[in-house]
Order: sequence, then C-alpha cells, then structure tokens
Amino acid sequence: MIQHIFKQIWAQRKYNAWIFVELVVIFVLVWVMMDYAFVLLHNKSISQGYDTSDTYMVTYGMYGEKTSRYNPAEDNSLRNMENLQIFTQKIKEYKYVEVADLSSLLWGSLPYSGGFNQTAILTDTDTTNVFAEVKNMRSADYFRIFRYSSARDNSWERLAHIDVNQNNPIFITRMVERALYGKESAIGKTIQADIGVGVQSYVVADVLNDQKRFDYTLPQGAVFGASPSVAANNITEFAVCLRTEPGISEQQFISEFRKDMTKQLRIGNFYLKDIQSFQSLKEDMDYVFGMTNEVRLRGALMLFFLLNIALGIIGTFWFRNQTRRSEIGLRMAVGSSRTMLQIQFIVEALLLLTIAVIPAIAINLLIVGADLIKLRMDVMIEYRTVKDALYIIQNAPLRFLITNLITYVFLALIVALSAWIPAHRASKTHPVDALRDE
Amino acid sequence: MIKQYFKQAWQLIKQNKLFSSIYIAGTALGISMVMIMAILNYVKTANIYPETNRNRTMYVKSLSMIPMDTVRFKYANSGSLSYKAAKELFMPLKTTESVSIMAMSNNFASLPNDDNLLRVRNQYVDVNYWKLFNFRFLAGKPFSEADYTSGLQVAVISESFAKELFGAVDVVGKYFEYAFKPFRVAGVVKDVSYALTDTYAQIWMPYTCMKDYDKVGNERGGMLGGVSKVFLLADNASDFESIRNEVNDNVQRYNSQANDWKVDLIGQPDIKSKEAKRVTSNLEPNMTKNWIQNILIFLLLLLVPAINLSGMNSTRMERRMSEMGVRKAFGASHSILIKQVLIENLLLTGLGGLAGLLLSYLIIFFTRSWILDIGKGFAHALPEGTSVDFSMGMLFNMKVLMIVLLASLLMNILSALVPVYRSLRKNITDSLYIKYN
Repeated sequence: MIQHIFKQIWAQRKYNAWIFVELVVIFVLVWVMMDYAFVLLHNKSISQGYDTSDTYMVTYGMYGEKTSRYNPAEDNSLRNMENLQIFTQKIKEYKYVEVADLSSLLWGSLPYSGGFNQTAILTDTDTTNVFAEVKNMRSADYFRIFRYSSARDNSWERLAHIDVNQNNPIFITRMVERALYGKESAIGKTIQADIGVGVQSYVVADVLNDQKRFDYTLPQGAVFGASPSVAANNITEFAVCLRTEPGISEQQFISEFRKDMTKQLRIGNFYLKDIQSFQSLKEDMDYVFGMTNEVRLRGALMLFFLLNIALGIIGTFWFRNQTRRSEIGLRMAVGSSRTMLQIQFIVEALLLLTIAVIPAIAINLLIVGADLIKLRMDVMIEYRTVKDALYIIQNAPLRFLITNLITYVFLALIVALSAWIPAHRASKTHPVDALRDE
Repeated sequence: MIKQYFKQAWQLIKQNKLFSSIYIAGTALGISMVMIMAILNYVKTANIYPETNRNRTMYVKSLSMIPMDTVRFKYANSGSLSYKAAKELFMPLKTTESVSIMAMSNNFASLPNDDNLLRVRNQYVDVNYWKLFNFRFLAGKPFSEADYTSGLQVAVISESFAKELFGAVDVVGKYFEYAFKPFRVAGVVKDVSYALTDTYAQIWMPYTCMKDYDKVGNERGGMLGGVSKVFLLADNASDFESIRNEVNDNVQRYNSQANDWKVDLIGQPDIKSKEAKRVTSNLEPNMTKNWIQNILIFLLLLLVPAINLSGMNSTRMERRMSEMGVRKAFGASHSILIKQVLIENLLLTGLGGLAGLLLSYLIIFFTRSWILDIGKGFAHALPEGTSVDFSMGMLFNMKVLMIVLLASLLMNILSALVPVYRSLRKNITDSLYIKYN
C-alpha cells in the first residue's frame, strides 16, 4: 500500500509541492519553538530547592525629615533599632504567622529578588576557584521560612536549629560540594569565601539540596552564611520575611494583614510599605526579565504556525478529494471500505510530512551549527555539550534528537487530524454519485 | 466586466462554503499578525492624546560622558541627563518652538495623614510641558510660571486618581500627600493611557519641587542625573535638521570648555520611531537593521499563509481548467485571465483581510495589559490597579486601514499569481481535455 501511496504523491506532485514546502517551513519554525519549550519545561521540572508557598515579604519605610509625619524625637539610632525590633515582633505575633524574621534585602539573598552576588570558594588543598551564589541570612529561621533542605535527609527542621552566628558555619549546595570535593563529603571541612564581610574561613555545617535562582534555569551552586547584623547605617536594607500556617489564601492573608496591621505598624518613624507573596514576586520577576512575554510570544507564534498548517492541509486535501471523486468512487466500487479510504488519505498526508522532515532536519542542523538558537538570561538554551552533564539538555545531540522527534510526533498528530476531516467527508460519498462524474 | 468577475467570485464562494471559509480563515490569520504589528507601531509612534505633537517632537533621554584622560578614567559613563545638562545643552535652543524636561518617580500618595497609601506614578515637569502636550483639563489649570519658579507644592492629577482619592473630579484647591509631603491640587486632567510612555502618570508636579533639583554633582562634570526625558518641539518636522545642528553646536561648545569629561549624545536627538527603539543608555539603535528585521518578520507572517493559500489555489485552478480552456479558445489573452482570477481572488482575500483586522482587534483587546512589552529584554510590570486602554483612535484610523488594504493586496498576489500563471501555461487542448484523476 505504501508503494502505491508514494506513486499517488508523485503523480500529484504539482499540488503536493506547495504543501510540501509549507511542511518544511513549518517543521523548522515549530521545532525552534519546541526546542525552547523542551528546555523550559525540563528546567521547570527540576526541584527548586526551596519552597515559597505560604511565604511573604513585608517591607517597611521610614518617614524622612521633611515629611508631614516625621517624628524627630524617634529619629536616633537607638530608638530606630528598638522600633524595628517592635515592628518585627508584632509581625511574629500576628495570627496565621508561623515564623518570621528580618532578612537582608541586598544582593539576592531572598528568592526571586533579581539581585545576584557571587563569591569564589577556596579549599585548603585545591587552588582552582569554584564560584557560588551568596545567600545571607540573619538566623536559621531563614531555613524554616524558605525550607531549604539538607541533601543528607531532606530535612529543613534540623537546619533550623543551628546557630548561624556561632563558630562560623557555612552551608553549601550539592553542586558546590561536587565541584570542590568530588564524591567526598564536605561536612566539617574548612573553606574560604567572601559572603559580604571580606574573605574569611568557614566550616561547612551541612550540604543542601541543589537550588535554582529562577524556575526556568538549571540549578546554580550557592553558599549560605550569616549576614552582617542590623545597624544604624544599613537599617533600610532589610525586610521581614514570614511563612504562614498552611491553607490560608494569599488574598485573604494580605487583605487581613493590611487591615489589621497598617495602624499597628506605624511605630516611631517606621511604616508598613508593602506586603507581597514570594509567589507574586516570582511572577513580577519573570515579567521584568522579559520571560513571561517571551513565552507568550513563542506560544502565540507556534499557535499561528500550527493553525496555518492545519488550514493548509484541510484546504488542499479538500479540493483534491473533490477532484478525485471518481477515483474514490471507483475504489469503493471495487470493494474498498470507508475506513480503508480514510486511512489511505491520512497515510498519504503523513508520508508527505515524513518526506518533508528530511530537508527540515537538515535546516535545523544548520540553525544549530550557525548558533542561531540563543536566549539572554541564565537559560541554558544554546547547544553545548557539557562533560559529565547531569541534565539531558546539556547533551547536544540527544537534545536535538528528542526535540526533533517531539516536533515530528506533534506535527504528525495535527497533520493526521487535518487530513482526516476532508477524508472523512469524501468517504461518505456514495459510489454511484462519485462515478457519475465520469 | 469587473462587476461580472465579482459576481462570479461570489457564486464560487457560495458554491463551496467550507473551502471558502478555510481560505478566508487562512488569509485572516496572516493579516491579523501583520495588523497587530502595524497597530502596535502606530500606538508607539503616532499622534495620540495627549502626545499629539509626536510628529514634530525630538527626544533626548541619555548621554554618554567620555573621559579625556583615558589613563585616569578607563571607561565612558552613560545615563540620564542632569538638570545642568538639560540647561546647558537644550534650554537655550533657538530653533525650537519650546523645550521641556520631565523626570519620573514612583511613591505613595494619600489623603493628609491617612493610612490608606496608594502607589502612584509621578512626573516632575516644567511649564513648557503643558504647551508641548495637549492635556484636556476637566477642572482647574496647569501650575503657573510663578508656582514653578518658587517651587510651590502644587500638582495636576488625573481624573481616575482624583476619583479614587477624593471621590470627585472637581477637587481644585484640595490637599493630598505625595511621599508624605502636602500638595495642593491645581488641575485635573483626563486620564492618559499607560501605552503613552512620555506622559503616563497620575500626578504631575513642578520640577522645582524635587529636592536639590538643580544641585550640580561633582562626578562626570555634573552632567549625569535624573532627567528622564528632554522634549524638543519644532515648528514642523522640516526644522529637525537645524535643531540637530544647533544641539551639536552646543555640545561642541561645552566640550571645548570641558576639562575632564566630554559629552556624547549618541546620535540624539531622536525622532519618535527611533526613540521608541532606544533601550540602553549607551547604544544607538540600528534603525536599518530594525527595518530589515521588521520587513523579514512581516514577510514571514504573510509568506507562511501565502504558501498555504497558493496550494489551495493551485488545486482550485485545476478544477477550473476546462473553463479557462474554453475562455482561451474564444480568444481571451493570458493577461485578461490572470486579471480575472486575481480579482476573484481579491474578494476572498479582502474578506480575509477584514476578518484579520477584527481578529487583531480581538487579540489586542485580550492582551492589552502586556502586548506593548513584547520583545523587550527588560519590561516593567503593570502597576497594580492600572489598565492599558487602547482608544478607538488608536485602532480605527486611515493608516491602519491602508495597511490592511496593502497587506490584503500583497497576500492576494503572493497566493494567486504563481498557481494561475502555471495553470495558464498549458495548451488549450490540454486544458479542454483535462480529466480528473
């Protein structure tokens, strides 16, 4: 049968040429989108390394000297420190709040902050630099709020009991441990790093699960250590982070918090500036970095191309089936069933797609070769094979194979469906009607 | 004759409703994408309330300070202009009708000593700003020259902000707080769409209200600062060249007296279409590359559906082969037949173009909150409670309609010419003999 269909395609080559060209073009364009989607979904499927559900950030402002609400009596470093403590304490005691603490706003210590600070890490034995993102915390409550967990037993509870301001402890992620010590454990070892107070020696207290900066990137190595404490000169560089009891909706919590706390939190020259969930901070960040719109644009273009190919196939096959009515009639007269007829048309379309895939993949190879697949930001999108890679997308040939295969299967579904619609209609023709055309 | 063609085309459409609708849908798809591009471009560059003078305004939003001693200072620094830079380079211009400056800020606004804080966008502007842009005042008027020079804390606010804060529009003389400082309402204007980047705000106040607005910094000759934009209004667009020359003279004069840092305007002042593409402070947008890129996208969006429609047309021509044969046998020339088919096809693409335009309106309506940010590396999330409104004037206008017409014609030619030409090359006898197999 296949041979017969090949003959058909060849006999109709004049009309098939258009749809063939269209299939080649669409395959290439859809593959570009699919490749992007694959990398994105692949990265999103990797664990974030922390948990931002039910977490919020409360920011405060301070009335300045020339404002109508300024209270000069409260504006000295002692009163300000006390007032900030009361501010934090009131939030800790608010109903629904499970745990809350002041956290440094600087340099990307908090999830989805947009900032980024990295340090070189040195060990006693090795001189090669390993770089890692720096995360500062004021206390181990940081682990309790964001639930970064130990790679040993996936527990955050144990981490939350460590005093981070005693004996210079530092926490590193699995990725950093691997880079520094290979298969050996890093716990108890001494490393040097600059986490905000100049290069110092620290003792690795625990190794954490790998963490990602954005949910669409691959994990990045990170180190966690104590931040500089709150003082008069950096008092505006902190915010209160909190975790609520589970099951309280964002909308409910924020509106109740604003209602109950706005007056309560006007303490000295402090006032409640904003409260935002980390989930919405993430959405804002995705938007600001252009990620949201990039995904929307590519999605829209893909939809556009798919609709085009669907309409093209329905349209071309429609008219062709009409001109082939007598053939259809004849086939039915000599005993071809309706199902057989439909299958024949669908297989014809699928074969056409399969032939089109050959030049399309060649073009895709050229695109990869010319390094045209790129994206700003930290998405590992360009084709590059990394040695000892942990993730599929770091294996260029495999990724190319997978994404082309996905594109083929996906397009095959659309093509089969589009070919079936006119085929189904044509097969309904009564043989006598069809043959009358002769 | 043309009427006859249309009649025939209409009959063909009616005969084959499903095919026609697929054909029209295919055209509409391509046209709608092109129309979205066209409308967005229109919104970004055409004369729209209150920026009704865009066609005769030039823009400056950044400058680069280049070190003369490259041993002491290694790199150039770029950023927004300082008040001093605007004052030295632009305010004395003689070839312009007027020059205005604007600085943007965000902060809290509220009723005096009230805890309900609203996050708003504010613009610090000068007196000329109100001449450059055509704001519609619903109450009161702009702050006066005297208010401006004395740095009085007065403000013009938007209609929706007035309603949100005071529950009324006629609130001239009432007080509110911005950044916890008291301001008196001088006027209320009709809202500005978020799509208009030069004028969108809830509050406009004198530039002189800004703390230390004219303080000259020590670094980089004091030329970098907080002026978001300088607007240069020309009598008409033909003066742009002389304004550019005068600006360059001012820059040269400044540079000849400078001792450490020289000014570079990086190709500014810009016309609106270029200004809309200028995103980084130190790079001049490459407009030629931009044009080529836009045309390529435009063609790709039209070409993909056009290949489709060509395929459909070629099968359709096959069906009409014998008709063409008869026409040819009775002496119709190629050009007449081509004309006939193109006109018939035009009816279909015209309908498709119309459907495409409607589709593009629909898409823009549902995506209005973010579609203007498409393609930007760094975008600003829409402030809470704001909506982007596309006015009727942005969507229905001659320019947009002309582009639909043009795109439909282009689509028509792209999708019909090749199949028709190919089918007409056949011999009359072949055409008449054609059998469907």
